[in-house]
Amino acid sequence: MISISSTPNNALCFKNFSFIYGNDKNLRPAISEVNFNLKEGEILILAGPSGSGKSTLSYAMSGLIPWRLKGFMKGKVEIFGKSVWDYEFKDLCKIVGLVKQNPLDQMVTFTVKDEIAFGLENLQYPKKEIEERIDEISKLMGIDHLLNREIEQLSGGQKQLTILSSFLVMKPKILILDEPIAFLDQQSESLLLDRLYKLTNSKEFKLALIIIEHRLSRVANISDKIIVLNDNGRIALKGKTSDILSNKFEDLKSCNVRVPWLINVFSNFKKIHKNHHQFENITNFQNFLKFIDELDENNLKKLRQIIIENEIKPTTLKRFEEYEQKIKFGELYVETLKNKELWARKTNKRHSNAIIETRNLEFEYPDSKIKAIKNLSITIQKGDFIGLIGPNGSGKTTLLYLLANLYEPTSGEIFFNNQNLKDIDPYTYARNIGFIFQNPENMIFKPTIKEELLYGPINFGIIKDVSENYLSKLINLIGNESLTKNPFKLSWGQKRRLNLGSVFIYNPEIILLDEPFIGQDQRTIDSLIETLYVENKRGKTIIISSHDYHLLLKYTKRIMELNKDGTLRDYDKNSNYFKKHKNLGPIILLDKINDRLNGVE
Amino acid sequence: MHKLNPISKIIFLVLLTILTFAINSVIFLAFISFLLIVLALTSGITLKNLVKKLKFIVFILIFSVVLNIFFNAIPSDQDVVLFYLFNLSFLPIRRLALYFALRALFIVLTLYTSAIIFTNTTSMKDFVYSLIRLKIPYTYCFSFMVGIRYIPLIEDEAKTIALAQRARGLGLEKISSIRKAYNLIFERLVTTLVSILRKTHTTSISMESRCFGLYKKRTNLIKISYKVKDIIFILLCICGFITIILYILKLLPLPPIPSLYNLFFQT
Repeated sequence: MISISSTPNNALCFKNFSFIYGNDKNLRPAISEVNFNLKEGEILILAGPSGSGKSTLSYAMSGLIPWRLKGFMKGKVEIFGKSVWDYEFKDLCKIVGLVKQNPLDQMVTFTVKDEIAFGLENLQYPKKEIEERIDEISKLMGIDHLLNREIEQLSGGQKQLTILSSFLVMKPKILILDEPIAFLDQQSESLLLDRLYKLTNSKEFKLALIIIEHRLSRVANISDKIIVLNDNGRIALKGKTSDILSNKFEDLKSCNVRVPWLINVFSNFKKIHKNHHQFENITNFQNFLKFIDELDENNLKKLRQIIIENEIKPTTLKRFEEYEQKIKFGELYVETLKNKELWARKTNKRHSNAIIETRNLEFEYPDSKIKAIKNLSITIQKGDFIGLIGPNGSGKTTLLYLLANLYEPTSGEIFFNNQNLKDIDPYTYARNIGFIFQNPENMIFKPTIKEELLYGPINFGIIKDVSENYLSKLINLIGNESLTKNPFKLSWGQKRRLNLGSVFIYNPEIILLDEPFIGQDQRTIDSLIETLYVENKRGKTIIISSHDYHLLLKYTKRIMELNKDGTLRDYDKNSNYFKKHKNLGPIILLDKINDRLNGVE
Repeated sequence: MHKLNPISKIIFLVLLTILTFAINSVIFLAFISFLLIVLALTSGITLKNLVKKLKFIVFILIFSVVLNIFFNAIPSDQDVVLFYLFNLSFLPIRRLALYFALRALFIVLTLYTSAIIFTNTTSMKDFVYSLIRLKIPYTYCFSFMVGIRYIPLIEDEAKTIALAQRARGLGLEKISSIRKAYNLIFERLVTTLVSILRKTHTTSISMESRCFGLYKKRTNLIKISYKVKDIIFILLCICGFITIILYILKLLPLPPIPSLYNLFFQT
């Protein structure tokens, strides 16, 4: 076993660490001059845009660099006071665990118990001890009732807890979690964060925990330190969480991370006051409620306006214009296509504003007796911007596939502009639907960006309408890349923007997006949602499924909530959704302010 | 069959495969095929399920019979024409050709049915741990296990990629040209492959982080054990196998099985 040396409290220490991958011909450092340390029992949030070197840093923390991934390394990495070079990789495996984003890709066995036992079996622990440890960790993580369950039968949250347990059972001293909540619904996310918090407070584990996550709003309250990397793999901001949230909040906001909404509201409120020093920093929800009690009528109204503007309805999109890579699709539509389609759109307006209508829609997967979609009758108006939410497995993706005519309903009907989908030519309908899939790479088929952009127009037979000039405009959207570049070599965010470009090129009337934010950095998420917001204002109908209810509530016009049994609750306006979900933070604040204002009046 | 150790079933499969190629009698092969179907039905596989699975090879069987009858028919003195199909003189059905065709049919049917019985009565988990029990290095066994775990993942991924093609207008109608078909399949394959490569990278990092392959041996929490019924089953299989081999070699004082030709054409 590892003997912990003279500085037992320091779990990780990076000194001027830089790394260049061995296969990088340009010798561009993936990580540059990184300095930080982390103690046992501390939680560190590691944030930064995609390609900033978060994964590289996590590999260095786990010992995969330099022992498994080859390259050029500079500086020092110390794990429990001992240089990484003084360890053998097998010793590092025992003290550091690295949990990647997608639990299913990491699982190698068939049942929960086998998966948890996997590491200990590899380390040749006696069977009795393995059984005891599995029992202990499964109880701690609350999955002891699932031990004999097949992996395939688990929900997204249960899979995440299982893979986490499979590392924790080895009793690591350092645990790295790469976006652990990315695939989780709200309920599973709360469950996981709650377990992690308990774990770090457990005397037995004393874990040094690193969470890679750009949505600081979700994880900041359980963390001790924050490190934000920039595009060049350097540290843009680092420090104690409390210090950053109180004193360097504006710096944090400029780092393209999702800041905690409560602190953001407070910070904006402080900004409009000349003598803002009179307010003490508030990072806690309960303290904020007390703070509201102390405000006068004028300040209450100002605060209410700030909450509405920041958290409920985006009244302006000033920030949208500030992005480095502006996305202005309005300038990019092919004019000839616009004219051609004008007639078709005008004729549709004769009927009603309903663009899609479903009547008693049902869907059952082959060989499954459970209805994924059950008796669904909804009407989607032209120009709607719908946020589709619901727990994992509630049928959000299935519903989008049905609406896009990619699945055929088991029973019921779908109408597009009052015409039964069965009577519409599939090409015509497909031209009207732009579908963005969860994984950007799943919708890349061609070896060059140009061919990829033209994929839809070629298949739809409208290639003649796309001019070279138009293509060169579209390429700006992706980020001034060569049209002959292989799309698979683009960054993750660029791939997502290429997806948008390859759909926008044929000017569909409806855009459906299935979990488009997973794995994307905050900059891409912000530009994506705000682009869609602008496009919706220009008349496009948009339906977007996501677990990120916070974003959806802010930008969409209407929320549809799918339940586990395949039924749907339709909230005509966001406000109605807010009324039903009073546990949402901003609503509680607004209610409190309104109560106080009513009292004042 | 469900309660047997996978290794017992593997032994049964190996012996059965040797026998199917050693037996010359079509009647005997047909009898074995019939017994296997009965065994499948008594092993909890429903008739509906069995027929559904056998449907897949019906085309191959018909194709094999037609090929054997018409292209394995080398006219010779020993081979006699039994009859002419539809009374057409250019469609002779020869004795040996018909024999080869029927023999191939029953061999395929026997092997396929036995594979159905094996896969339906054996969990892949038990199978992999049986391989470890057979002293096959665990790194190979786990490669196999990960491969099996990947099948549904790849299936899902390929389905999504196919839908992404459809969403952008490819494959909405029946493919009319070879080039389109080639594009459709090639693009789908490449995109799926990229996705699988990413997944394998994650899997390998996860396995390495959990100390996989550090030592030559590992503890196995699951141990597939031999029970009395396994030993009895294996002994019965070996006895049956030896008896049939001795019978084929005409070392047993039993009458030979009549051939189909003798039964139907030499009355």
